[in-house]
Amino acid sequence: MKKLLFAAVLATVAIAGASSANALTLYRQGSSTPIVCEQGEATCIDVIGQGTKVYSFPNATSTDTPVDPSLYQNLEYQL
Amino acid sequence: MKKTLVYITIIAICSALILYKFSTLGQKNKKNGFERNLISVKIKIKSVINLQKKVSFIGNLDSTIVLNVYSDKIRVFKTDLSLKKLDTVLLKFPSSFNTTINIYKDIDPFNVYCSNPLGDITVFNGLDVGSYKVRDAIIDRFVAVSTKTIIARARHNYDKESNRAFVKLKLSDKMITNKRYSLPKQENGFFANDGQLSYDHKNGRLLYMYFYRGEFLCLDTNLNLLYKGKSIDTVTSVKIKTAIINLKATKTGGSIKQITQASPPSVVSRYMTVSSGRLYILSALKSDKEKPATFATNHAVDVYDLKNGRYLHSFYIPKYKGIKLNQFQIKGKSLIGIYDTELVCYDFIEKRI
Repeated sequence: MKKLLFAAVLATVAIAGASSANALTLYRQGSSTPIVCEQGEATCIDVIGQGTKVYSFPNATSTDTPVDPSLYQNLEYQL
Repeated sequence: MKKTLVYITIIAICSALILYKFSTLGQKNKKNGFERNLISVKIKIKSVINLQKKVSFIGNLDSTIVLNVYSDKIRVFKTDLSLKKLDTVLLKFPSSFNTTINIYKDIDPFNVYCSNPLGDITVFNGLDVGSYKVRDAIIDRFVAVSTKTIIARARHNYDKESNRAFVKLKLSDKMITNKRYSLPKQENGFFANDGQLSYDHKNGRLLYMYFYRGEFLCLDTNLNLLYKGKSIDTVTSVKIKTAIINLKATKTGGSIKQITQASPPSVVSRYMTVSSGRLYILSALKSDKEKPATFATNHAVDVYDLKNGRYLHSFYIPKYKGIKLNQFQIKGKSLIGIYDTELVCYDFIEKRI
C-alpha cells in the first residue's frame, strides 16, 4: 500500500512538473500545437537592446548604431 | 519491483488523462460573458485550389485575389474567383533594398508596394520601380491610400518601452512622417497593441483591429480617430508577459536581445476584412450559448457597421476538411478563405438587416 501511494505521488509530481516546464513555449490558444515563429501576421519575436534604433517622434533623436540587417529579426506567427 | 513499475505506469497514464481532460474542459466550456446574434447564410463551395505553400492576402481588390507566399518574398500571385489559374508577378527591387528580411506588401489597381523594416519602400507598376527611404521611423505593415501616399504602422520608444503608432508618408525624395497617431501607452505596448491594419478604399477609412483585446479603431486618412469600436466580447484590457529568450553576439562584441511573449497569447480577434460598408471580424472567442462542438467545427464571424462600429449580427464559416480558416475576403457574392495552403471560394449570400 505504501509503495502504491509512493508511486501515485511520484507519477503526479512528474506529470505536473513536465506540464509546467514548457511555460516559455508559445502555444496557440486552446491548442497544444507550439507556435512556429516563422510566418504569419502577428509579432512573435522582436529584437531589442543594443544596436536597435531608438526613435521618437516627430524626428529621429537617437544616434544609436543601426542594427546589422543580418541580425534583424521581427519574426511573426499565424494566429 | 515489477509490480511497482506497473503501478507507476498505470497511475502515470491515468494522471495524464485526468490532467488533459481538466485542461481541455475549461477551454471548451469557458464562459466568455457575451452572446452572438447568429444568422444563417448561404455558403457553398464553388472552387478550391491547393497552393502547396502557406499564403496570405495582399490588399483587397474588387475581383482579383492577390496572394503573398510567405516563403517567396519577391513575387506576388494573382488569381480570380474561378481559381482556375495562378499568375505570378516577379517584383523588381533596387539593389539597395534588403530582401533577406521581412517584406511587407500592399497593392492597388496600378501598383505593388513593398517595404522592409529598414525603411526601404518600393512602388512597382509592372515595368518601372520607384524607390523611397523612410528616415525618421521604423515601419512594418502599411496600406497605400493613394499612389503617392502610404499609412504605415511604426514603432516608437518611450521610457525604454516599445510601442506602436501610425504614420502618414508622402512618397517623395524627402520622406518625412507628417501625420501620426500613437496607440495607447501601456506596458509591452509593442505586443499588446499588435493588430491588423486595413484600408477601405471605397470609404477612405483606415481600420486597425487589435489581436489581444476586443477593440478596433476607425481613422480617416489624416489619422484623425473617427471612432473606437468595441467588439461584442467583454475583453477590454490585455495582459502581456514578455521574456528575453535569446542573446545573439554581434561581430563588434555587443549583444542583440530577442523578446517574445512568455505566456500563451490570448487571441480575441484573428482577422478582419471590409466589404460593402461592413466590417467582418473573425473572432477567436466562443459566446456563452454556442455549443462547443459547433464552435469547434466552424468559425464565428461578427459583422459591424463600418459607419459607426455598431454590431449587426454573426455567422459561421465552416472549417474546410477540418482545417482552420486563417483569412477571408468577401467580393460581391463570393467569400474566399485561406485554410493553411488551401484557397477556397464559396458562393456566399449574407442576409441584409
